[in-house]
Amino acid sequence: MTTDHSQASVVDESTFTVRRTLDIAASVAKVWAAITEPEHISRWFGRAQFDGSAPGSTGTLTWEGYGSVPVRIEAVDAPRSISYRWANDDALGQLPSEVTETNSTVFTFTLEETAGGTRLTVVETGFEVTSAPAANLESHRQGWDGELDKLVALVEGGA
Amino acid sequence: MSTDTLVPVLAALADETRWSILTALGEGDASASALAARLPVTRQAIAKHLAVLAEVGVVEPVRVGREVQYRVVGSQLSATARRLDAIGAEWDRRLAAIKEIAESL
Repeated sequence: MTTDHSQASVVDESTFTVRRTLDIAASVAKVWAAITEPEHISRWFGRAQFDGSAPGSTGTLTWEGYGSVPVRIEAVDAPRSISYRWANDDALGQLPSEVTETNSTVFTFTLEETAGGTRLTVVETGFEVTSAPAANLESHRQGWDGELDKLVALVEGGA
Repeated sequence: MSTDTLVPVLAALADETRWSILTALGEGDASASALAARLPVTRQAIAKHLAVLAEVGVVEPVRVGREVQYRVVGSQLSATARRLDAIGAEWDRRLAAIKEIAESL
């Protein structure tokens, strides 16, 4: 096994799945906190608010100048895995008020204890149910300029 | 697709006109003149953009009779693959941030 699991990425076009894995030099408990506590989620995602922490709890992820995206906790197996469903369908052209099966995708974090800390894997699925891929593509393109800078910074930082 | 090849490709695509050209070619091979007729850009400008896209390998010229048409290259550039790549890049960034947060807790 190499140490750079950020390269162990898989894009599976046939199943519309995105998978990423990263090794983190922190305990499972700390990684679990980073991916489940709204205070921390707000730092790596959008400003997070939830009405609870159990499956079925709902909330929002908010980005200044963009709006609030509804999100729902789908499954929790603390501290091994948690699944979130978020309204990730940019092609709709408007933000829905709630998450439904047809306007959202699901991302699942899985944590495994390793000798050096925790291996964190995220799998996002469900892109086949969202609307017009071409329109989504165009919408996503607008995020690319910024993503590119971040990607370069990430690569050059030798993360 | 490694980041070594992804970065220049993303840079080439991070342009409104080139994106329009690529989107148009996604519907079928076309010559620079045909693209100029469909897009609000001169044929000369289209030719320049096509050269940029060809340089990073996302389109290639194909001679058809007397004209040169361009076509999109590779499955990486199917709409879905592009979209999933972009989503993957977002997750790379988020996981890096999660790592930083967890390691400083």
